[in-house]
Amino acid sequence: MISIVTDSTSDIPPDIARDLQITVIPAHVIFGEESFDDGVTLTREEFYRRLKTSKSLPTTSTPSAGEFAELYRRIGGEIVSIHVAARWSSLLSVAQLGASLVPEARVTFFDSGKLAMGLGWQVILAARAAQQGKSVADLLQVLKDAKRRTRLFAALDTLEYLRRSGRVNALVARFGRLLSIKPLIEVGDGEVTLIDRVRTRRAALDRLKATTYALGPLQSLAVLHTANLETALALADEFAMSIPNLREPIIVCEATTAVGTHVGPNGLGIAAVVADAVVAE
Amino acid sequence: MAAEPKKRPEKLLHVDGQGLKRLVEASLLWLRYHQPNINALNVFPVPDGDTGTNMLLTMQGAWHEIEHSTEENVGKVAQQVAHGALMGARGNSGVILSQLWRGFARSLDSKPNFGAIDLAHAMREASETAYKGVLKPVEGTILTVSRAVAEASETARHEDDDLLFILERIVSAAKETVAETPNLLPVLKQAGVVDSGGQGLTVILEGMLRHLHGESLDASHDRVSEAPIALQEKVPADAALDAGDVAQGYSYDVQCLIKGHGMNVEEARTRISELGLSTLVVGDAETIKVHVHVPRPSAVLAYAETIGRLYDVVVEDMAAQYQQYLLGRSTPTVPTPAYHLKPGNIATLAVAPGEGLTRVFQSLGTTAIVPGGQTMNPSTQDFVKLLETIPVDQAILLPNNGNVVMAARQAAEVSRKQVIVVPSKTIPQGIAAMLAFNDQRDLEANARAMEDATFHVLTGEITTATRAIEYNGVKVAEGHIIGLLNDELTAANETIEETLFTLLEQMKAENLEIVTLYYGNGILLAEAEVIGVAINTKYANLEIEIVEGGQPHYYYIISAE
Repeated sequence: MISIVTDSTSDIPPDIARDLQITVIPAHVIFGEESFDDGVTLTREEFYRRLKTSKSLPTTSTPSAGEFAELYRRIGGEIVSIHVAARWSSLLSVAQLGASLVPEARVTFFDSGKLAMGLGWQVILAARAAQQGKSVADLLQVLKDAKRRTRLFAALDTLEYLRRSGRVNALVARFGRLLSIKPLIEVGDGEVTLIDRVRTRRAALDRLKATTYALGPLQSLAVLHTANLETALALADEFAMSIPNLREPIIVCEATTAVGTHVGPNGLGIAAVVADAVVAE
Repeated sequence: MAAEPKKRPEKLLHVDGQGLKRLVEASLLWLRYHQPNINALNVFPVPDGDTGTNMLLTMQGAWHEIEHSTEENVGKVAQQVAHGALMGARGNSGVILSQLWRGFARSLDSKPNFGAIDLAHAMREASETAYKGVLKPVEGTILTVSRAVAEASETARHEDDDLLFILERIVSAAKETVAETPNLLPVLKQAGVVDSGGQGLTVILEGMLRHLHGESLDASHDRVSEAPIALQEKVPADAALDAGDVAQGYSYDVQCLIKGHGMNVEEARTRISELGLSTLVVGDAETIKVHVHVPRPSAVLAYAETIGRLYDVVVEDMAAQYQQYLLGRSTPTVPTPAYHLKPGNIATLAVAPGEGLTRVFQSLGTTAIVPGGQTMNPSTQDFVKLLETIPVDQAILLPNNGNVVMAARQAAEVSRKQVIVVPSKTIPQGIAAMLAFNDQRDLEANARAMEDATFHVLTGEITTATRAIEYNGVKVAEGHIIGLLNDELTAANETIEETLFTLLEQMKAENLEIVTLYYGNGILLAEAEVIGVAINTKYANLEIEIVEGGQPHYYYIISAE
């Protein structure tokens, strides 16, 4: 069977990763002088607790090429390694460098063009295909198709963290600092686009729901949050009742620390895989 | 204006182009004289939405179009008047006035002159056009007066073909109908006023009649006390009007009262007229009111001192005001090179009073700001001109004031570009609409989403009452601090803070998430912050935002969601 590797920015819940035999390599989270392995030595809860209280913003860094090399060597055999959008992170190229250090490794790379569960869903669909004994070529076909059908939206509670991080400047520039605004964004293939701007959490939630329903029939759905579990669970409950024909239970997960650093707490999002028929072009 | 006294009894059977020109000029002068009285007919005692000023500026636009015309054909002159009124239209009453002229002109077509039948037909077409121009016609307004005028013309022309006779009938019908407006429109009755737009139309017609009667149009026969020319606040509107005088070097505006005994008003008028332009000298043997534009203020004051004692002297430099006015009007706040637009983009234009609010709109990506709104309603032409400077073909207009919506709609029709007006009636509605703008959506989808957004925000406005009124159970004394909730008068208290808290209660602030206080011109940030803390003490869950608005007249504009 082909082995599936991804990184911790995929947000795949540990039990699902275990069931589908997905290997998740942790990114590093650095608070001041301290470095943690994302999801291993630093839980998401602990991360958001620190994010609120820490004076300096945490930084995230990719695993090193050596860590990738070691991982690929340990797994061995045929590997498909699926990662966060190369446009946002050097992680994919570091992984490729790591693979080049292992002459016997047979690693095929795939750029998901997304992050968080937008990446996670692609990995999960690939892992299922791998379990069915599909070839590398088949897996790449599954991934291409899944990438095309995966949509990722987020409602940010504040622009403060995005501002501090200096990311997505063009987007932030459209807000100024005069009013407190909650943007609804779509994370596309290596791009962030502004969908809507509202001023209350209630309105942000309404727009996120409306945007989700507007996607049409869905195959899979995840509700993402940043230290906002209660709202995320309620939203997942509502989706479970109102969206028919999902092929699997809705996943609720705390968004990746790399995302959390830029989004800040109280964010909410969805990662959906649109049903096949809808995207048939 | 010097009217040639008519020797009756010969009938006036026809009016040609030059005749209409003189009638328009007469109506303009008479309207100018009555402007403050019409302005005072606001339903709510708020210092804005000045119908008199708006109608005057609309007529001014009409007059400028024919001022130098020697055209004899009355149809052609009427067309020019209609065009000038259309472009100069400000405020809803100004827009309706321009529609009346449009219908009037269309009916006259290219007739060399008009007689009794033509006038009756033109008046009917004028009224019908005005009714059609309003989405939801309301009775008890200028529309009702226009219809009464049309009916009176029709009845009168069967009795006599003398245009003077018909105009007399028209004016009395207009006056009677204006007096009836409080019975037709409950808000007028509650506010204890007649309809201002209807009154404005009556004044226009009356000015024409006075001209035909050979009566004075500077109201010298009215007592000062009965028809106060208030030493009104100098708004840019006046600066625009006075542009001609300024250009001729008569750049000081001098106003004063002369009190004495046995003064000769006629002589004073003659002497003061020799010193300046746009002279208004009215009064009686004891009190004379002077308003004149002069190159040097000293001469007129020196003369006035020789006949009595001077009171309430106001001297203003119109040249400086005019320069400021030109700067404010002609340069869009967002300079052209800063238009971040690519071909195919949709431009957004918002009306905003005050620098702070201008910055807020700019920060949300608004393409261009039309200054004004509360003190000064932008004209159709203001929108049209700005639209022309925008390098794209599609635009959305945010009037942000109920009294600007119609002028914006008219501009959307006149403009060659594809323009949709999102009828935002308050600043918070406009900001909510602007937030909902998304350059990835097409024009119609944006307009829908933006209009929808205006319904999800509450607006509070706090100002000082300009007069006493009892409205919907709210008792207001002059000088009270009043609060408007979504453009309706709902609160009146002694202090700003009390009124603000009353509004918050009416908004059910305990269920809201965010309240933004846009503090006005004259309010300090520190004062606003004190109020912000007070709000937070009472409503702990509310997010309070304090933003400089810089708007005139309104201490606070409150946006709540």
